[in-house]
Formats: sequence, structure tokens, C-alpha cells
Amino acid sequence: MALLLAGFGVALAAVAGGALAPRRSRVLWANALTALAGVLVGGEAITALVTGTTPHAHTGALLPLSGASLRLDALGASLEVTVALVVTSAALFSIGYAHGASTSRPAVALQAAFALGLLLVPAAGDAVTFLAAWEAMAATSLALLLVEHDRASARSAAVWYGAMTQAGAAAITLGLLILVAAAHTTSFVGMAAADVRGPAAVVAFVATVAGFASKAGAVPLHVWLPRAHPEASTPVSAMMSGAMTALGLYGIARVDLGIVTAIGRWWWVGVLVVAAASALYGALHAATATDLKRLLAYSTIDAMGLGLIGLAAAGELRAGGAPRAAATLVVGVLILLGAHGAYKTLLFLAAGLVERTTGTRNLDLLGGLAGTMPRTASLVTLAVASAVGVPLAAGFVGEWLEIEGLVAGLARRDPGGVAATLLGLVALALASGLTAVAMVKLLGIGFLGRPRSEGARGAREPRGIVTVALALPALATLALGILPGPALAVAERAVSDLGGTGVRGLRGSIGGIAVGASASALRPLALLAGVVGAGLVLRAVARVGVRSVRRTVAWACGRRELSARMQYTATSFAEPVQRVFADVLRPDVDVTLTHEDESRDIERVLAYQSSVADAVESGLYRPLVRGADALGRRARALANGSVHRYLAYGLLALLAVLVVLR
Amino acid sequence: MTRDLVSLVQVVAVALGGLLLTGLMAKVRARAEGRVGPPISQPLREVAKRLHRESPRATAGRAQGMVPTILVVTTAVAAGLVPLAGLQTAGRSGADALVVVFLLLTGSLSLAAGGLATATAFGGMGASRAMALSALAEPALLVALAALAVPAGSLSLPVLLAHGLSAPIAMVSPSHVLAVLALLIVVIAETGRLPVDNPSTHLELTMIHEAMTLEYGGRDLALVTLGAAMRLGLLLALVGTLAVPWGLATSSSPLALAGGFVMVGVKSTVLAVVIALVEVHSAKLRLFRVPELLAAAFVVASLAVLVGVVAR
Repeated sequence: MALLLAGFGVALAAVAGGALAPRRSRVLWANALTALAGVLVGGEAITALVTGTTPHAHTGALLPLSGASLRLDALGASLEVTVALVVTSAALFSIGYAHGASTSRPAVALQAAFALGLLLVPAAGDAVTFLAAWEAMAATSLALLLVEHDRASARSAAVWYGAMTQAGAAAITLGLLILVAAAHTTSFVGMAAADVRGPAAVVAFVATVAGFASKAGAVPLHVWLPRAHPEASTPVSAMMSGAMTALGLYGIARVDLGIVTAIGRWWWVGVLVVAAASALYGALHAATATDLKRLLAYSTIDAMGLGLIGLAAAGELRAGGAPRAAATLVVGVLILLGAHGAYKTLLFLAAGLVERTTGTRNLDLLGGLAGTMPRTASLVTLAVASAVGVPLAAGFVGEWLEIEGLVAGLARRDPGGVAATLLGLVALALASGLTAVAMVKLLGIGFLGRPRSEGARGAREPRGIVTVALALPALATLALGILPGPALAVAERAVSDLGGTGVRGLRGSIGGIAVGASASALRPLALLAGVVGAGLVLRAVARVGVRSVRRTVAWACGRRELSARMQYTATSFAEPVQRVFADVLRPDVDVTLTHEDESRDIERVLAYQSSVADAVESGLYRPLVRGADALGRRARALANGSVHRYLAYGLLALLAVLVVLR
Repeated sequence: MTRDLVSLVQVVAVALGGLLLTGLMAKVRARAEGRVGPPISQPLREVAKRLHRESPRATAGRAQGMVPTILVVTTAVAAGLVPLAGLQTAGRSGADALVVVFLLLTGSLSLAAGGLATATAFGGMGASRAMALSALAEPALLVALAALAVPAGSLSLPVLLAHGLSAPIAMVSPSHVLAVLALLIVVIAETGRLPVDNPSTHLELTMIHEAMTLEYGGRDLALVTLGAAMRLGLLLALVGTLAVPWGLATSSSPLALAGGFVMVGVKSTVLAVVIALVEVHSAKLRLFRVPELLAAAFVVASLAVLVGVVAR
């Protein structure tokens, strides 16, 4: 417990440092302290997981009504490790990266406060502390969007995010209040033991799932995410994507899997449908996006959708009498969240570096960065490998467990349940295929090939602490990918925190992990040995022959040389996907052909323009906003400035209250 | 020790077998079309010849040089871990079907990235098409594997195949047949055969795999060809074994294992000849009709799962 409290103390000191220290040392103090806080909290979480203890503390002061209560059980600690990794990397990165508006007093202090909020959420032991931490996290991240408020796009993003996050927080508060009222206690442990049933459970379930899912970017509540991530400063978007969205899923695991256990399984099928839609929608948009950060934002929606598929299928399976498959899924989701936190943080930070040195985030203008930024490119390759599920990287472990869980869920006699699980599996498979398109595009168009603009040609490899900040999540990715056994062993205990039973089927050891009675097994160490062995043999064979490499010019169809403009761009790379899924994406494609004056047969300029807007935003939210606006205008007629009329309103309201309370 | 030895033999067998099967398929096509065709050993000879040549590379980075190595290594590891000859001798890394799928996927991804690394329009075109099709093939592949895994209760290949051996009647159940059919379509797409991709074309508008590898030459090209042939050999052997597991050695005696190798060779040869004959009689689909084929495979695979539930 001491480490945890010390960590929060240090994080508070970081906020103070950001607010009080002079301009020169402000960034260094606040972020160094935040990084230290991340290390301390992460250390406590790992210790708790390894020793199997549950550190907890309670004070009657600090918060009204129930006081503040901290409790780090295995579920919270698993998430806390992820959050601490993201926060530490982002803070280290900020030391070397922060510039301009993000070095201002409020910006630095708010970023530290955001980090503190993120670290507090998984450690909260009761509903009141949880809500306070949640609101601290939401409010500071909203304010951070406004750091560069001179941009109209940032202001608009803040309005969207503000509306969504506050509506979400209201829904979560409502749901938790209902549960607290039904359980007569605010502590999560007590609430879980109370076994809330009936309509109260249903309302609480729907409200909390909606609130948490909007934080995790589930369709159709995702609209804030592709706006907010590109507008926030790089470390903030990394924390938002790697940690904050994951906490949305944590909320669903904690409250809806852990407390509202008596809910009917068809509610979970509903969540599963939403999850499948978001995974596919996010993956599709990521595959067609050309803005680097927008791509990453949509890929976050995709990854969180995959996580939500796992949780929803777990809820359905547990209620449908397959607790083992459910346990496998929950463990898979926890590992997926850790893997996502690591690789997405790395990718966001790298995107920030690329934008800084090339002056653009547009993939159509990038290229050839592997030559100019080789270290960054190697780290990005590792992150991409983890995102697409290359064995030996962390992402694969989570995906493997999730597929194993879903396939185990298919082995039931009940057709309805099987159909639901099958939906999850299909969405996962298609989304992971589309993720591969997006990630190969990111790597191949952005980092390989030849530079497509002056900015990309002049890119410089960053030096110093920012590289360390990128290497930290890279190390975590490899560690989790090659040695998943220990992580599995601790994530397994998280399942018992959810009141789960039948986790026996899962086994983790140094050599690998195994699932199910008949032991599907993943042994990355043996795999690694195989890869190394095959690589060495291939090298030895290659030594025998001639090994020379000659630089040539690529075949240019008879021309002398190819220009960089002749390469495929991000837009053209994604064109087949865009065309196949045109009904969902509704791309806006415009081809303009202008002719020479002399003849209509000779074309002068052929312009191709393609943009993919968010169909949910234009189809669902625009009418909603317009409707609210129109309603507001109508309502104005009620207030015409006449005092008599206002007095009449007051009288009517009083009468209404009297009638109701009669 | 036997286990590692068999793994090693499997890798060599898949490499040689894949190259010979590629040659055999070209031969069958040629004969069916009334030509003599190149000898069956032609791909093998070409790879052996090119291994000694220098590699011309169009770009400065290391990426283009790494791609052939990654392709061959991932395919070789996958070939080493699956139970091709005998149940007892699956590789030490668990022989999980998903590991095989994702190892092969790693190879395809690196090939696509390599296409983009050459900085040519062809490379990009091939990569773009290959990635789009592989994304669409993935649901069919995973669902078909799930349909095969459900009766055995495991995605581990030895467990799955042992279950198949113990219940031979299940091999003709509708669920099994549908799943194998879906797998076969996916394999045709993933190995770049007609009607998805024409392996013998160099016509720019129809290329997928060839477009990605157009800028490769010498030893690089030899390794890419080897990798593609190994993938063909491995997938044919795997589908053949999953469809009809009889012939797999259940003990690890050398004689039984040798029999297992012969059987898997026979199965993949039969599959190769069938695919080649189908190729003779089919035209390449338009690129944007291929998603329909893959969607059909996906529907067939989903049916396999649902039929399996009803039958249980």
C-alpha cells in the first residue's frame, strides 16, 4: 500500500510542479514526477499481483458521504499495470517533446492531473471514489483538448468530447447510484455480494454499459474519438487511447460482469452486437484513413471493439453455462488491453515524432522514413507486428486467448448462444484482417518506399529521452509476447475477482500458456527457438552461394526512372477495401476531367478526390443536433420577457409539485 | 529428439514437395491443354539456380532484403510444428492451428510490406490487392477452423486429428465436408491460384502475387519463390490431412512415420492435381468478384458451424 500512496502523492506533487514551477523547469519537473508516480503505482500493482495480496486503504475524510477507499485487487492491478506503463511512457516522452502551447502552466499541470486520474480509476475501491477519479480523468482530458484552442477543429473536438464524456459520466453515475441504493453499500466488494436483481439491475446495466462503452469508443457513441485523438497533443492522445479507453472496458468488467451478475444473457448478446459493429466499423475506417492519428484513433475503436466482444461474449457464456470459456475470454481481454496499451502508445508517440520532423500527418505525403528514422521505424514495425497478431508479440497472445475462448463457446448445444458466439468470432476475424490492412498501410506507405514530399525527405531521427519513451512499450510488447505465462497466471486471479468460477482450464508457465481440458497450447519460447534456428540455417545456406547485392533502378515500363509520385499512396492502397465496403463507408469520390481547348479527346488534368466521412456522425448525430437546436429555438418562444408569464410558470410548477407530492 | 528430427524432415519435405507440386500443377495444366510443358522439377531447378545469383534491389533500405527471409522462416517454422506425418511428432511449440494461421499471415504481411518497399506502382498494386483479399479470407478461414475444432474441443492440431482418427464417421458429416470446402476455397485464394490469381501470368492488370515480387531477383527471388511454394505445399498437406486424417502415424516408430510421410504426399498430390484440373476449366475472376467467392466460402464455413450444433 505504501508504494501506491507514495505514487499518488508524487503524482499530486507533479500537478503542483506543473502549476508552480517556472517555465524552464516546469515540463521536466511535472513529467519526471509523473513518470516516477507511474513506476511506483505500477510497482505496487505488480507486487500485489505476484504476491497475491490485495492492498487497500480507507479514509473517512477527502470525499463526502462515504470517504475515499482504495483497493487494488487482481482485476484492478492488471489494468493498473497497463495504465502505469502508458502514463510512464507518455510522461518520459513529454520531457523531450513538449513545446509551444503544451508547455504552458495549465497544460503541464492538467496533463499531470490527467495522469493522476488515470492511475486512480483502477485503484478505486468504492463507487464514490471511482466516480470522483473518473470525473477527474474526464474533466482534465477535456480541458487538455482546449490547450490549442486557437484552432477551430480543436474547439469543435472539445465540444463533441465534452458532450459525450459528460453524458457518459451521468449515465455511469445513474447506474452506480441505483446499484448503491439496491445494495446499501458503496464498496465494490459489498455491491458484488448484494446480488442486485429485477428492473433495477436492468436499468443499472444499460446505463453503465452505455456510459463505459462511450468511453471505450463503441459505435455509435464513438464520434468524439476520431476528433479528439488527432487534436490532443501527442502524449495526451497516447494516454487517451492506450489507457483511458481501456478503462472504459475496465468499468464494464468491474461493474457489469462483477456486480450486475444476475442480468439475463440476452442483454449481453445486445452488447455483443454493438461490440461487433464497433470492431468492424473502426477497422474499416482505420483501413481507409490517410491521416496518421485518425488511423490510430479508428484502430483504437477497433481494438476496444475486440475487447468488448470478449467481455460481452464472456457475459453471455457465463450466463449460458460455459464459465470456462468465459474465463478464458476475460483473461484474453485483459491481456489484449495490456498489449494494446503498449503498441498504441508506441504508435501514437511515433506519429507525434513523425509529425514534428516532417510537418505532416498525411500518409499520402510520407514515405521512406525507414531510411531517415531507422530506430523509430524498427520500433513501429514491432508495434505493427503486435497489432496484427504476429506470434511472439503481445497482441497475438490476447487474440489467441480470445479466439480460443470463442471457439470453446461454440461447443454448446444451444443454437442461439452458438449463433451469438459465432457473430463475435466472425467480427473478430474480419476486424483483425482489416487491422492488418491498416497496419501494413501505416508501415508500408509511411515508413517504406520513397519519400513523397520534401518534408518526408528531410526527416531526422529524434534523439534522447523520446527514444527511451518509445522503447519502454516496445520492451513490454516483447516481454508479454515471449513470456505470457506469468501474465496469464495473474490475469487468471482477476477472473475470480469477478466472481468467476471454473478458471481451472487455464495454465500459465514460463514456457507458455495452455487452455482447456484437451490443452490447446501456445509455447512462444519453443516458437522463438524455431524461428532463430530456421533463421540461422537460412543464413548458413546463404553463405554457400554468392551473396552480393546490387543496387538497381526499379523497372520503369520503358521510362528512364520512376518518380516518387508513381508509388501507391495510402488512398490508392485502401481503394479495394473502400470499394468492397462502399455501402458501409459511403465514400465521397470525385473524378474531374478537364480537356484541352482544341479537342475534347485530349485530356489535360485528371483530378481524383476521395474522402470518407463518418457515416454514423452524419446520419445519426447531425439530425440529433439539428433537432435539439430546433427545439431550443421553439422553447425561446416560452420566454418572451414578460414578468407576469414567468410568475405564472412559477405558480404552475408549484402546483405540479404539490399534485405530485400529494 | 525424434520430435525435432521429424520437424526438420517435415520442413525439408514441405520445401521440396511444395516446389515439386508447383511443377506438377504446371505440368498437369500443360498436358490438359495439349502442351508438353516444362519438367516437374523446373521450379526446383530455378530456385537452385537463382540461389547463387546476386540480388538486385531497387531501394536502399533493409526492408526488401528482409522480406524473403521472413517469408521462408515463418513458413518453415509453421511446417515444422504441424503434425504432417504422425500425431506424436507435432512440434514443441504446441501445434495450435491459430499459431500456424498467424505464422503464415506474418509471411503474407511481410510480402505485402516488401511490395510497398520497392517504391513502384506494381509493388503497391500487388500489396493492396493481396491485403484486401487476405482480410476478406480471414473470417472464412477462422470460422472453418472453428467448425473443425468444435467436435474435438480443441484448436490444437494433434488433438483435432486424433479425434478425427477415433471417429471416422465424422469425416462424412455435413459439418466436416462444408468446413473442408470452405478451407479449400481459402487455400486457393491464399496460394494465389485460379480463379483468384493466375500464377503463370505477368500481365500487369491481373497480377497479385507476381506484382509484389516483380522487383525481386537473384537470391531474393529464389527465397520468395521457395516461400510461396512451401506455403502451397504446407496448406495442401494440411487441408488433405484435416479432410482425411487416415494414414497419420499414431506411433513414433520410423516405419510408421515413413508411411505417414508417404500418405501425406499422396493426399497433397491428389489435391494439387484436382486444383490444377479445375484451373484448366476456369477463367480468372474479375478482381472485384473475388470478394463474392470469399463471402461464399464464409457462408459455407458458418453453415458448417451451425449444422454442427443442430447435429449434436
